[in-house]
Amino acid sequence: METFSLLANGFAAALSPQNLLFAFFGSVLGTLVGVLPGIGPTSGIAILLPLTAFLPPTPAIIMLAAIYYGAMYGGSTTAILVNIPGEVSSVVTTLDGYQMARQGRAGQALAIAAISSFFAGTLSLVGLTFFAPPLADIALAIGPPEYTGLVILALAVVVSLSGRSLRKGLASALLGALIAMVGLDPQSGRQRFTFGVPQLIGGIDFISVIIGLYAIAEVLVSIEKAIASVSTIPITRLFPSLADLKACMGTMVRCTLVGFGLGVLPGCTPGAISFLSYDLERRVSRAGPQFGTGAIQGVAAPEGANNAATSGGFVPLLALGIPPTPALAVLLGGLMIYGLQPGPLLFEKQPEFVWTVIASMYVGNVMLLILNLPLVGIWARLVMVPYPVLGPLILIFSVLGAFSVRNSTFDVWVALAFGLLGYAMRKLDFSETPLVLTLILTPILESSLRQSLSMSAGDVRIFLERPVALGLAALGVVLAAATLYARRRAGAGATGAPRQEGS
Amino acid sequence: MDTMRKTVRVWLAISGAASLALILAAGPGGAPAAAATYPTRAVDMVVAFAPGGGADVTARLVATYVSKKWGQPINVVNRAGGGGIVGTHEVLTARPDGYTLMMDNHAVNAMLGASQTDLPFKWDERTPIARVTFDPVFYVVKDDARWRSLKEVVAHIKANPKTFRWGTAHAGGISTFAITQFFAVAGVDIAQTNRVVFPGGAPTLTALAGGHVDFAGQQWSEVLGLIGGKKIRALAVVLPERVKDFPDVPTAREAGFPELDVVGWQGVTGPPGLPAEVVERWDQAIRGAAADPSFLDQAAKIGKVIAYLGPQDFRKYMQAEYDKYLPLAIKMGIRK
Amino acid sequence: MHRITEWLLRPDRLAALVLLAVAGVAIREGAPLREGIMGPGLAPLVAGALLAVLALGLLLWPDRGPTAEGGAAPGRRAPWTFLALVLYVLLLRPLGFALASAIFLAALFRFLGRYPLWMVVPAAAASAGLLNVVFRWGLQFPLPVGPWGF
Repeated sequence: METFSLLANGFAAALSPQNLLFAFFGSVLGTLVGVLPGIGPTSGIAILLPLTAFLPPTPAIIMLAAIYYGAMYGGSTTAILVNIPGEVSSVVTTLDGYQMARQGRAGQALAIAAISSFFAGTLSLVGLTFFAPPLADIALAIGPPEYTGLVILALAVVVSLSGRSLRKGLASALLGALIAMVGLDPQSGRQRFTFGVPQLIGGIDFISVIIGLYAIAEVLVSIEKAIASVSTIPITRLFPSLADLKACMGTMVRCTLVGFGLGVLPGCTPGAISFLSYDLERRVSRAGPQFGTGAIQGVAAPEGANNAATSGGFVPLLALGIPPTPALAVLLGGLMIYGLQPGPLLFEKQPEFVWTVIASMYVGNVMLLILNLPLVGIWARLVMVPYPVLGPLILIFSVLGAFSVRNSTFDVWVALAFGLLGYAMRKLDFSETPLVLTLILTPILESSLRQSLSMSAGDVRIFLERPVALGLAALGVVLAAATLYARRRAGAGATGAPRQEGS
Repeated sequence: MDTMRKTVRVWLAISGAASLALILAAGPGGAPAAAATYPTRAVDMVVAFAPGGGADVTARLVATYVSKKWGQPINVVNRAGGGGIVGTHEVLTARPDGYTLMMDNHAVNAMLGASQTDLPFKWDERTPIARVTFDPVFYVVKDDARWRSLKEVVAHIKANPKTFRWGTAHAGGISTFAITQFFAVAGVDIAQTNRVVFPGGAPTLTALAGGHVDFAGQQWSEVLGLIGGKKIRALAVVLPERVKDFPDVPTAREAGFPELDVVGWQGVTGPPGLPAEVVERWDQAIRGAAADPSFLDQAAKIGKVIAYLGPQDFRKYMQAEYDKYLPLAIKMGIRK
Repeated sequence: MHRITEWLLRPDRLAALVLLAVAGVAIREGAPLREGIMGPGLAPLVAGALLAVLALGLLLWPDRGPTAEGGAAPGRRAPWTFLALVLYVLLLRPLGFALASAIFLAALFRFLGRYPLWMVVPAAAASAGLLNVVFRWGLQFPLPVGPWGF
């Protein structure tokens, strides 16, 4: 098949010593940058973009892609070790990852994150390789009504993640929705909730919220409890046992499919995808009931889904020239500076370039695995650092992270404010995960809903004419109802356990 | 306690090395030259949008060129937020010493002034330096759409306004003005049609390619991917001559609508009260770039047409834009 | 009066009051912007209304007693730490990143860990210095520079 020979050529180029070196550097840099709280792939690429300016196009793109993958992985590291998500898609990893770290199983968590990422990433790249153009066309058929349905489905996850008190979880979710509305309304351009503060016109940055709610609040709570360090349990094993790996097989396959399938859709953010994958696993896997208390599948699912979504994201990027997420938009900008124009034309006019990039993505995945597995030991030891030292350092990183998103001190203050809010929420037993989820989803929901109605001149019946949209929404309602029922039966607290300290 | 001691020793060692390195690196090289011509240190060029976008890419192009010429770094700093309002506000309130400038564009200049009444700044209180590039607007439809020309589109809309859907990026941006001007000139009753707003150029064009909207007007850099991929087709471009890369796309004049003149642009501006020396130096540099073939080449690769204007002409252009957009904004209900 | 304050002082009820206030702001912000189902005011209005309902419910029927989390006696370490953080951010521009970070770290290492000063000061200075090098030089972050040039 022609694709094979093209891919083979791509590998030959990708495996050239020069390009391998750049893939390596990119992975290292990306991981380092991604480890910093709040600095994820988007900021990572933006920060490191100038470094690639001196390179010719192919190695530059290889390096950028490696940085992207590395940053995604780096984000999971802090999520697991210190309960601070490196960026959006690592939020879900904190749910089980951090619990594992506290139980002395940080090594296993980090390792399974790497392994699942590798597995899902590589498998989904196969999808990218062989099915990119037809997938891109399917992605185009997904319009505003379908997105509305998808978001409604994703919102059903809120019920699962509400923690002990459903009312508080819902309140938290509504708070998230309101926070998302601060700034310019994208549909009408009007200002909402800006109260005359110019910086608020830009909205409240998502990363600042995460840094505040997770990093700063976590440090405050931990300091209050005067914990000696994240975990006092001696680390006995660094890698998952064979039994663990077997238990994750099903998870890894499922999260790959979900991640890749949804990652192909422009506008479907990795954050939402990781939530959906986590929730699916929770319902389907045998270890479902343990999710939230340190189930290894709870780490494997979102991590794998993330990576698969990355590969999925490259489908519209390479095949249509449309970046599905902000991070890939930056990547696209980087590509354009080199005079390259992603789109179907790219496949025709410069096939060597495209296939080299795809081949180096395979290489990048392997590289990340090779790089990070040995480092797991070092990272895992971090949990033993005395908290009076670790805590303040985390706070400084938080300030840096919040600042780095838009080079704005205002964002730092926002992070501090949310740190206070997060602290209060934990004391009052309000789960913060629903807030984050609606923060991600509300803009998409509001836009898609209003776009759909614009398309139909205000006629709600447009939803009835689009079976996919209706189906997704209905599924969402069914799943939410099912979770409600399960909660009622188990007497609340058996599903989606909240961030429980001392349990 | 033991771990802490060990840690401290390690830190001391590292800090010793680091301080040494810092001192050595920071030591010499701080003394300024005798005649201090601007710039004597790095200049920040603020882009009020996220990296990778139209303004950002142009900024990087210009910054690289100018910093090479002057031997001083020009740092592109992204300050996204609020459709460009946040970054613009920051530049306009910065110290006018020439070390904070902006890669301005159509979206945060006259167009913004025309469409928003509650801005935290006055849109025309900025020092224009030089206009650099144009980013022409293409009117596009889905590749398999039945209309072959703008005139056919107009005829269709007049016959079936209620089912016609057009997409724009943002509520008051260039695509909104481009299409509303087109409708105004063509005599279409906008109120009967359906307008769908998307959060950016990319989602708008994706929706067009997927058949969820029928018509759009976006910029060169945004449309080239999908046109090349044969998912969408351009019916006209708003420019005096045809674009080299798309020789089959007629100009707006050739398509029968010579009055269409909404165009995207980028240019360098600064806070109010910028010293004349700064303006002059930058103007010189950009004028030089506009005549440099390699610069022109690179600009074309990112979908931009060079359109240099010096400071006085630039100021006049900005005012002309405002005079053009204000009535349109009021008439179309864009102005809030 | 005493009965009312006692009734109010349950943590859940206080939270509910705050939420009601937020809901109120949301509704006030949303109402004037209503332009039908597609206007910018609808979402704040709906969210605010729902929140108000939930908050009311929480006010009248709070969840059962303090949880394990909420029950932990709030000491003074957390508030002081937060204050230190606020001061740190305020001092970033005047003092520059390196110096401000060194002071911040030294203060907290000492306050939280009770380590002797001869350990704390060099450790803090060294950490701050290392961070400065990595971020300003390595990653080219535009970090604030203090009056003494570093």
